[in-house]
Amino acid sequence: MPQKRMLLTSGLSLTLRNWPAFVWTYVFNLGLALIFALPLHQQIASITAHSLASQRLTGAFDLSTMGEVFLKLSQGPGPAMRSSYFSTPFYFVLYFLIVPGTLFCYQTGASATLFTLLQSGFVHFWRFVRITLISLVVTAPILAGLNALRNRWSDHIDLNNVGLPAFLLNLAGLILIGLVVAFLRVYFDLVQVYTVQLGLIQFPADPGRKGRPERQIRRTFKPAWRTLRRNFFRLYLTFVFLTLLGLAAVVVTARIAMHSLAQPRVWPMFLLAQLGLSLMLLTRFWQRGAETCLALENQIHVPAVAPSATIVPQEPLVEAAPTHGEQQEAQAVPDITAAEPSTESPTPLEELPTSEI
Amino acid sequence: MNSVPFHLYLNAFRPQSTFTSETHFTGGIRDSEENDNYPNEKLGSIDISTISADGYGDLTGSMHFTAPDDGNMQDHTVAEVSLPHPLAPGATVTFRLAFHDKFPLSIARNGYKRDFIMGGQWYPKPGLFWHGAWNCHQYHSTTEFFSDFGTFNVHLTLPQRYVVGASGVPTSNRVNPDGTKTLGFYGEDIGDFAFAASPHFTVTDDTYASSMGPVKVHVLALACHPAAGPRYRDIILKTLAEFDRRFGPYPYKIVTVIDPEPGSEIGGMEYPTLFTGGTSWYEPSYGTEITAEHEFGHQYWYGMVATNEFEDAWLDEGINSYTEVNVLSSILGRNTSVLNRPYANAGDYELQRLAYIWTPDFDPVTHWAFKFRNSRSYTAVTYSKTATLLATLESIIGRDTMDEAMRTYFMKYRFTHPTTEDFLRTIEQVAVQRGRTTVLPTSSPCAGLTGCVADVPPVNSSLRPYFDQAVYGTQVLDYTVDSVSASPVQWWVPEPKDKHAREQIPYLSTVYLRRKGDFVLPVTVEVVFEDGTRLREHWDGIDRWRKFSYERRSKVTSVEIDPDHSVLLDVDLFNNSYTEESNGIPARKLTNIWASAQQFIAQLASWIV
Repeated sequence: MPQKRMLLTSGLSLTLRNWPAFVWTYVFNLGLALIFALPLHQQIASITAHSLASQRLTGAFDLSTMGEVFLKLSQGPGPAMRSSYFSTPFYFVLYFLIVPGTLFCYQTGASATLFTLLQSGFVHFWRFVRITLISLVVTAPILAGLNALRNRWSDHIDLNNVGLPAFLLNLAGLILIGLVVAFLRVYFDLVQVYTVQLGLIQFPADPGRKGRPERQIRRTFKPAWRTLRRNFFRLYLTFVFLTLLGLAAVVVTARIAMHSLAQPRVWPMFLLAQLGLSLMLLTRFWQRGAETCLALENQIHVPAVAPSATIVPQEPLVEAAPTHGEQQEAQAVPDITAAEPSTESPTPLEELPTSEI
Repeated sequence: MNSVPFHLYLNAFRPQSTFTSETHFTGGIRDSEENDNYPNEKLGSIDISTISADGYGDLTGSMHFTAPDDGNMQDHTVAEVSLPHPLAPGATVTFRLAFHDKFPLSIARNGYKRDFIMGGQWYPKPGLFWHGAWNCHQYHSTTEFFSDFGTFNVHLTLPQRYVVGASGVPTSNRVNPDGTKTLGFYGEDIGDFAFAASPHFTVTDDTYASSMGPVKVHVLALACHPAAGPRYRDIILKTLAEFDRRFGPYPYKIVTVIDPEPGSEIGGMEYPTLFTGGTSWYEPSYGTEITAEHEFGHQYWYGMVATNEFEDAWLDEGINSYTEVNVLSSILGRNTSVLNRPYANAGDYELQRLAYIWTPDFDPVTHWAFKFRNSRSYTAVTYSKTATLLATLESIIGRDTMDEAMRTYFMKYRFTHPTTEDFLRTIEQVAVQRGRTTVLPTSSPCAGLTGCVADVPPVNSSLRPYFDQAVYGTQVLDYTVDSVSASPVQWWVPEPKDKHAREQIPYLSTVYLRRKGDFVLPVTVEVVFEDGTRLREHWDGIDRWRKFSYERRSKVTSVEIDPDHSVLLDVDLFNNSYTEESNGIPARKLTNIWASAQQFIAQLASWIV
């Protein structure tokens, strides 16, 4: 019986031990934003660098002067503002690669080098795309229904309340929707964790079987649901707490950074903003870490098929992390083959190396 | 006179009306019906059941709808009563009407929201016989109102729990046995009558000692806005003092401030001696003060100098926006009158200018309000361009001259209906008297203009080219420092590396200025040299470009057109100057904000994965 640990601490421990995953993601987040903002910066500089009018943005922060800059940018011929939006889709695609890589490293103890992250990301890419599509299909009608309810709630508030109470009641409606979204996110996060876990299993060859079972994400829906149901408050509260922590980090640092707006230097504002954004990102990886810990406590059950099913890291990934320690870790992944094939009951996976979780 | 037209504004709140059609297709400055269905609760109407006139009998049968602006016979916002026999010049007639109103869920300026009601434009209002003809336009999405002065004696019966504010002064309060009360109000020399009622009003009163006696400041703020009452009161007391000092006295005994119901489309609307403000339970900027000041200003420019808001909207909204930025600048600071925080600021002058340069040249300010390209152009030009062009005019003729011109205009035209030319000629006359402009030999300033009916003697001054471009035209003003260069006169001799040696050799500095826009205005240029010398040059701006050359033992380090920052009409202030020293901080600041926002958005978007 696996021992239950506190998800917050074990998740943080896992996240920090695999810190390169978070750091690389942050680097991509920041780097892409900066790269795609470069044309915008050049265009703004062409307007402001040699103009005395821009002094209102040097030792002060005049909103109308800022407004005029952006008005000129929007009216100008250059596509700088539009092109800066592309950082989001690029980051989005990279995130599709990094998340499975991160979950792989979390579960196997493989070193979270960029190569490992991306290679595992490519292996799982289409599985994660499928999960995302399914999550959208599931989430969209739920959110549409909730939004319709919220509109009715909002109309009801509008009829009966004004001022601060109306604001708080509307906010309560939004928070409820946020909690439902968080629930859905937690579930699909677990699906992703189990998808990576499933990919670690070496299923024996079975000529009668269609497809490759380690890639069948539908096999993860039930385990994810079972784990979420059995550990609901433990996981959900952890998830919500970390979400709030991340948002609070952004809000607090943004609020402090705002006070640097009028200063004739940029670095304090930059550092504060980056601190908040990196903390927000860290909490997301922390959530993944907590979910992984839980998934390792409640490992996926595979219906045993003849002659055996084995969970091992995929071969290329072990090769991708060829340090001595990692090879040892890879070898340490136990053979979880059921001694006797059975079609009556699922075969539990044994715990992965506890030294890594 | 064979007929009399009446405004029936409440009929605008129907899908068939011109007002609704305009808001649907080109937008409105209030709630726009953009959806393809018109909700029943937003239906409004005013039905005249009988109308008769002393000496004419029952005229109900002769009443018919007209549509003088667009021919939309389904509009029903103007009705005309035909008289069986003409009304002789100088004769009077008394009409007696019975009518029934249905107020809509608020769409624009009146109606109800929850248990709040705003009674505005609620009665059949006669058109104005002006310049030999009836002036009675339909209700449009952007236009406001135009009416004659009158005396109002109104009694309102409401549930006893309601607190009521209305035009004029309260005269009676009778409690009825059926749980209602009847309140009386009386107003003289006012062009309209409006009222507002809510059971949630809290009263904040004060008195301002004006040059014509005490004025009661009567604030009815909603209980859900606990800070609003004192904020409205304070800004109105200060505004009354500013208007009294700048333009002339406020002659009425009361001004009532209504804090409108949140979510209604009733905020920021002026009526005689009463206006609605606009605030929120959380208001960190000066939005409350700006709205209150602006609407109070209408007491002068719409209430007393009662211009035609259909045909000369700029004379009310525009002049009022100009006085708004000036008055708020005095009270709250020029660069901080919208937002005043240690880390950021915003001033009303600059925000008005920003709104103007967003849509600078679709329409002249003199366009009839309902003939603008769209509501955005109407707002940008009528409000913001006017404020900006008058602020620029102030820099041309001087602040004192402009203040005197505004005061003269107000004192001369209060309780009349002046036109564009009345206003412009008043400015010209005062400027000529003060020697701030010259009279040109040619005579008629109305040449080429239609409808020039001003009763001020024509003054064809040197300000006319400015008026023709800024007021009657759509020209865009944009001057730029095109290039700045400096090189040794003996350019073939290598430049010494030592700073002191460099200071001994003569440099040829050349500055090119360019007029990018089609608006011609003389401008001042300040040229600064390395040794600290500052030279001011003047350019008439007629040619497309102008070159200034200097042979000095010092290079030009910066050039600035309009160094006093007074020509706010210039649509691009960044290209007005050039400095040799590069300043990368603004670009880095803005890029940092933008990039951080993109990072945040990307992180949020990645929650899908």
